[in-house]
Amino acid sequence: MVYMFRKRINVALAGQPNVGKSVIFNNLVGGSQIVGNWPGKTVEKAEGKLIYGDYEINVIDLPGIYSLSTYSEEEIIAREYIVSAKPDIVVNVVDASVLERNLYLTLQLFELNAPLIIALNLMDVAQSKGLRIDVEKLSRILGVPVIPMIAVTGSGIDKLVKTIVDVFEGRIRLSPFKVRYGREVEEKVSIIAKIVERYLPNLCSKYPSRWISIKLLERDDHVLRMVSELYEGKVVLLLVQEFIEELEKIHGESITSIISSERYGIINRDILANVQFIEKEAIRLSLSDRLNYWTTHPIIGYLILVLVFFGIFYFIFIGGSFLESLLDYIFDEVFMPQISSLLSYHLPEPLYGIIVGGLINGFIAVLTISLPYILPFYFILSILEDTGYMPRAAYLMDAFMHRIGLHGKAFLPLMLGYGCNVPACLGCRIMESDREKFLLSFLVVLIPCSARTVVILGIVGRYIGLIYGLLLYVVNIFVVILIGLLLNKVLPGCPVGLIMEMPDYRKPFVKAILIKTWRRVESFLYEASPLIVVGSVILSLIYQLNLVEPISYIMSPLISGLLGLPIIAGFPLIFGILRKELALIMLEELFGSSDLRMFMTFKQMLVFTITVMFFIPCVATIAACVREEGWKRATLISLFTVILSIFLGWLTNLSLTLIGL
Amino acid sequence: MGYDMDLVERLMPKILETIYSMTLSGIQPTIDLISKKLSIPPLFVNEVLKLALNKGLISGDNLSLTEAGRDFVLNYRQTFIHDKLIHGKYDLENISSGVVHEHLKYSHGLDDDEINSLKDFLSKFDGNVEEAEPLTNLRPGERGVFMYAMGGYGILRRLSDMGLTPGIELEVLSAGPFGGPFILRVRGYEIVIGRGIASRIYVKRLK
Repeated sequence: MVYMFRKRINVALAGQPNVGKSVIFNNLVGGSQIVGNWPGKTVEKAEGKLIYGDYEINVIDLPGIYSLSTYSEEEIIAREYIVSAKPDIVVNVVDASVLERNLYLTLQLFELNAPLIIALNLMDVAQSKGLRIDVEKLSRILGVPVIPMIAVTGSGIDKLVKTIVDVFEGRIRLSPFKVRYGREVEEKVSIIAKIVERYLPNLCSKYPSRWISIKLLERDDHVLRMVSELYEGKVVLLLVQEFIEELEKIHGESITSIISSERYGIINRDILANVQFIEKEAIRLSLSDRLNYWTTHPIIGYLILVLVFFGIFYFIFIGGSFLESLLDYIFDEVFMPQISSLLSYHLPEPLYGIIVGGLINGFIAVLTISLPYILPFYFILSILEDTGYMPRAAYLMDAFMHRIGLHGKAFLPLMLGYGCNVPACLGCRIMESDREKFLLSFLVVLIPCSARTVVILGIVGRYIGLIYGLLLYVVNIFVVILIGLLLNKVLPGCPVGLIMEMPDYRKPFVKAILIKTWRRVESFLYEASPLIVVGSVILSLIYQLNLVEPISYIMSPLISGLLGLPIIAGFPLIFGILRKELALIMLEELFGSSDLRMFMTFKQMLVFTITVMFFIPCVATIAACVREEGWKRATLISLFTVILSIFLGWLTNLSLTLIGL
Repeated sequence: MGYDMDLVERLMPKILETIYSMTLSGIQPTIDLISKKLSIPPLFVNEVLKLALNKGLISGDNLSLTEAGRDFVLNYRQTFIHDKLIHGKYDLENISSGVVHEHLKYSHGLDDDEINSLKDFLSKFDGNVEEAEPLTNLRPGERGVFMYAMGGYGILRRLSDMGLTPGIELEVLSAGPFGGPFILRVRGYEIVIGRGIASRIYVKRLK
């Protein structure tokens, strides 16, 4: 027997947002990837591996970042990973069409002494912009391999893998570019570096001393904190402060601007001037430019926005109901009869009820009710993200979002909320400040997700009329805006502004979109199904133990008194906490009929639906909220929604009664 | 002398400001130079300088500012920025000197960090402060040179990470509808900046 020992190479992918990093990642590792979170963080972590000859290459996809400062959690994660995990190779994915800004990160990676390979992606876009890049010369100047790539077509991937192995084996030697600042800054950096080496040896064993000095000069919060915690660090900081003041006096600018300006200077003077040539000005507007013009147009842009989102909902509902009926058919007609006849033969009655009524039905509910709507939603969302439409939507909505104390980026989580509140809640992390995250979390849980849509369309839409169902969405938007305005007044602090890149439009790439969609659906199924199954089992237990009536009786003052609903309707309302669509399913189950008109008036249907629409978020959403905001805030948000929903239900009941319905 | 004393007082800050910016950019100010730059008759400049000398704002022959004169100019710059750029008008008497810091803090919600960075900028800025105007004044298609952003270190670092460093040329591509954000082209790519931040970014308009 022959044992194959594969050599293991650890590779990290680093790069700015929108450079096609995840496409390269997918191309490299294909289906082997595992998606999770960075430990203790809410930032997504994707890793995977590929086998290449005798090598097992582990690839980790670092979050997309513009710089290695401490503006966001992503930036800290990326640089800490490079420093502490010490990957064998760092592949810096670079957008050839925006080389200047991309190299800004590259310089900082050099300063971290990362063993770099440059993947010069989007060569086709650069070419269409009339840019010619002397790849060989760029590689010579930077002292590391530069691989030209067009990742969406797979071009350059093989070469990249081969280069990774060559560098790992020492067949290609790296002699990384030395970043040298202007005389004044350089002087200070080397003095601080010497002192840091002498007095803070422990820190220097982890980070390059030169890097520490630059970060100290840049007033990097994270490094300042690390140094100030050390006994000798305080003295170093005094010196640094003095240097900063001196430099600011000489240059007449803040130290951040001085160092950034010098970096850009190095990029332009020492690198780009030698390797990037403008062959011809792009005379004809590219398709991307024209799309950009119309989708950000002050009138047409909004029309397109409305059309796009109308189209999305249409697609989700049409696609969703098709998938739902298909899956329904498969389970109801094909699987269930066989399973139940098999199990009823072997199991005694109460156990059969629990297993079939609870466990199996719960599992089927996941597949037939949630999945059909979540799948098309994520599919569309991935297309919007990959093409670059999202920033345009954020741009158009920024002014309106500001009214409720948020900015344009908040539009994305709010839209996500219509699919599922769980990713919406997790998506709140894209907001920069704590205040905005909190405010946005409040709002996203009020957005009717696809599960609540099942209730809205399944009750009001079906029995009263589709137009009334859609009207409820409008009511919902008004309530959300109102709550937003209110919270913006109440919460301390002031709103933060928007700073965001507007990337070019890109042609979506089917494989990347499918992978992304599947990754998200997978993680949703993972998180939600256990809750649904457990809830379903508890439910059938309560059923078997004849507890339905006593529980309903306890809640009757609220349910029939305030809301004017049938007493029995309180129970599904509570169980809606597990999964929103359970509210409808249970209502039908409890009434023993799928025609609600026999048991509820139109008024009661409307009140029930409105209450469900705003009622406490489902367990999975609460869990996501706890993860993002902590127990205290999650509880506060949940309690708030309970009060709000009962108030609105009561208000609907009262006003409909008053007008004589 | 036939000059209106009120006018002399009013022109004092402009002239001292000019002396200050000349000194910073390494030019030895003379009455002729000042007169040419501001298109004010030399005799009038002389009159203003006499008053400044009396008040101890400048010293002797080489037209250099005293400590008090420096403070006077910095205060003028602050007030100017404040009035023109924040309130959109320019009226020096509006705010008496010395309370600008408090005013910025309590009436405009700027924190100490922001005010200090503004002061920092003002004391080092070697151009004529009157050329600065907020980015929000520019219309789509107009270009400007980024001078300064008022804000904490976080915002400054973010802007410079995104390529917006002092002295860089930018073009306004779109001034957001309904009070929305600005789209700028900087270093060959586009960034979106919310109106709130855009109004705190000062640029020198390019003709």
